[in-house]
Amino acid sequence: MNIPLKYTVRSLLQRRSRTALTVLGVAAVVAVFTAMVGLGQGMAASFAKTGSPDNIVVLQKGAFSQSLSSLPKSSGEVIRYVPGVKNAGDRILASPELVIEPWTTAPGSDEPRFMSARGVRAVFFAVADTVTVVQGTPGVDGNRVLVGRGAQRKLGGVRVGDRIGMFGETWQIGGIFDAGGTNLEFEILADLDQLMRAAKRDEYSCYTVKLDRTADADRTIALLDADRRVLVTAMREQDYYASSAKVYSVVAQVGLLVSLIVTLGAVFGGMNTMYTAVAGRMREIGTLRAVGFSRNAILVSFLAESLLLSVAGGVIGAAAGCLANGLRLSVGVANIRFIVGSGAVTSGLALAVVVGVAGGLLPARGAARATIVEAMRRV
Amino acid sequence: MRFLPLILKSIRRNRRRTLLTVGGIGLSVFVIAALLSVEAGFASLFNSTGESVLNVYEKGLACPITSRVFDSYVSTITSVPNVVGATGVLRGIYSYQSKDHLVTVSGVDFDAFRKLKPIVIRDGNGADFVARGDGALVGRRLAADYGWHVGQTVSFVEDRLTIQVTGIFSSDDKTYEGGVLLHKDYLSKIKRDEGRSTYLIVAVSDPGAVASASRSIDSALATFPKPTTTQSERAAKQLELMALAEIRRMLAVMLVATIIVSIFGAANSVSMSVRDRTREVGILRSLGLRRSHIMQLLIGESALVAAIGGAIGLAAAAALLASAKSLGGMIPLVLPPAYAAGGMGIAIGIGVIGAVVPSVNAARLRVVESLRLVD
Repeated sequence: MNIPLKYTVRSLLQRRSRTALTVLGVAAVVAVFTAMVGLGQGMAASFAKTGSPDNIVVLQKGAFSQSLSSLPKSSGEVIRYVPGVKNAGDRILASPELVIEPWTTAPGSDEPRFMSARGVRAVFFAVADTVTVVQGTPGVDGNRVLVGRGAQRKLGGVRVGDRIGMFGETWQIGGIFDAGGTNLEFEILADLDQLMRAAKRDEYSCYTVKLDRTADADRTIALLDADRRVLVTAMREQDYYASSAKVYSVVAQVGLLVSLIVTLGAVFGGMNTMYTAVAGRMREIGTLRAVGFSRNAILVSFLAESLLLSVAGGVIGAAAGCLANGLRLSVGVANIRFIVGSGAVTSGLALAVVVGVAGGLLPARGAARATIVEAMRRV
Repeated sequence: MRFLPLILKSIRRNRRRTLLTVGGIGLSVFVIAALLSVEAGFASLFNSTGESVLNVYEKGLACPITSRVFDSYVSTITSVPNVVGATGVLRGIYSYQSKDHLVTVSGVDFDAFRKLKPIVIRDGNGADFVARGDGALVGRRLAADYGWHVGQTVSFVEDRLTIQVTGIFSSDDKTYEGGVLLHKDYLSKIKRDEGRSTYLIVAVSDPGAVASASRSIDSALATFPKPTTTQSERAAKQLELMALAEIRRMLAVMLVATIIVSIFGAANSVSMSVRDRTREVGILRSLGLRRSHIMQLLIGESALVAAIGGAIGLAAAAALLASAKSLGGMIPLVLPPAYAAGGMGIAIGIGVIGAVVPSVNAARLRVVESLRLVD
């Protein structure tokens, strides 16, 4: 027969300060952990959709990213005519682009922000089929730009018609676009020639090409990598996005690692509490055993006590972690939102259970192992 | 201090509790020390900037590595009043063996560079460096991290860049000490950036001239093909790290959360130890010890345990940092003595703060009651 839960609860209430401190300690740890899981989920959501399967990104050989890549204008002569590139009637679907990171000023704030701008031609919209203009009118020309949803937030919630400043010039926002959750949503799209002139660049950053058939991807990539007229690296658009997402996820991973190490410290604290509880109640344990409760019942009772403490702390901590929901963290050009929803909360509560079991198991076993005579003898 | 024997004895009385408390605080201090070392890395980049040195970057760009200015600007700049010297630096980031090992490479005009940024060659010599087009001077920290030595050929993944290590140097400027110096001619050919630099270093006659010289340079170059933005080196570094500002804030929040968790743990531990010794406290009081003595005893015990945990945590963190390379090739990861002392201070602080409430309660107990308490 199991020891009634009332006993456990009353024991906890008897030592209020110790109970409170342990619960708060677990709560603090679970709160941080829940927030970190929320950050990881926010990152995953931001970089979830990984681009079109039939697009290939072409960069300067060895470049780390599009913004650090530089291709001479003449490279288009080779890239456009590589076998496998789609030819849609009147034009070849190869989009030259300039990716650059200007200090950008938005109306209503003097502080410039670190944004990513992409200069494109009309063909870009045929290649980047994830881009949908949801407000305003599509197309970039002159100093008209399109701002992605993520960029819109990073600029403080700008709207169609607002003017932003880049490279000492004013650009007018002609529309807001969605890009299926890809990195593109953090960018500002501008006219390629206009942006190159404003930024004083005479080379492109990269090309994005659409394949005739998805199956041609490997062959086209191999041809581009091996071409001696242009020194480029080619990869599937999905692979490119996956590797840039990895850079951001490091932040969330480090956060998670730190919170796990601190959790271990909390487990030590929990064990401390439980060992003391057991030591202080030796005579009670002896009495319970003498009355007829089995060793197992004692073990379960103390384990239950530990779990009660940790789950109480877990609930408080998860609730506190929920406060982080919706917070934004700027990481480079991206702007990540903490997503503390059912996933993060469940993880937090699960951690609380683990802390409770880990902290309570050894002390509970110690309690169960005591012989009746020794226990009764303890003062 | 006369309570020390008493403190030591009571620590030994309940070994398990002491060990668990030490372990808990040790883990927290380990995390705190790691976070502090990242902060120290950031700080060291600022402190190593010269007071009368300016950086000239391409205007309007947020990512400094993508900046490009023309070397021909140097002649215009040197004719600006108060300017003592100017030279260009071409920067590149290359991976050594894998993308996890990033190395910052700076192409410089060695003679001019040495005048503005003094470097001390520890191993090898400058003459060899000058003699070889593909020669390289490796910063001391970087050479230690990867085990490079003079005479070695090092190849990087990108651009098939290959260099010959002709010397190891140290410098007050930590940004260069963590990287490689090459000849600008060599690097610019490989990067197809002939005649251009990532930024120019300009030395002015005294710190007071920084602001006016910056303005003069920018206005002199305003009509040139690529206008510039000039500021003190320190301000330039601050802008560079602004992209990471929010991450630093997040690290600070985690630091605070870690400290709070350990304070709870320490408080818990002390209150448990007090409970065990209520009768002992009563006896001590009846022997004549005053309330303040009791508090000293308890707080001292907690501080000592925390200090031991802190020492272990710091040692573990130092061991980890010794094996970790710098962060992204640009932020050095070290735990300077000042920060280590700060970490120990935090550990002791945790022990003291955690102990305050329980020891005040213990001291307040009336002698008769505490003698009467059996459990």
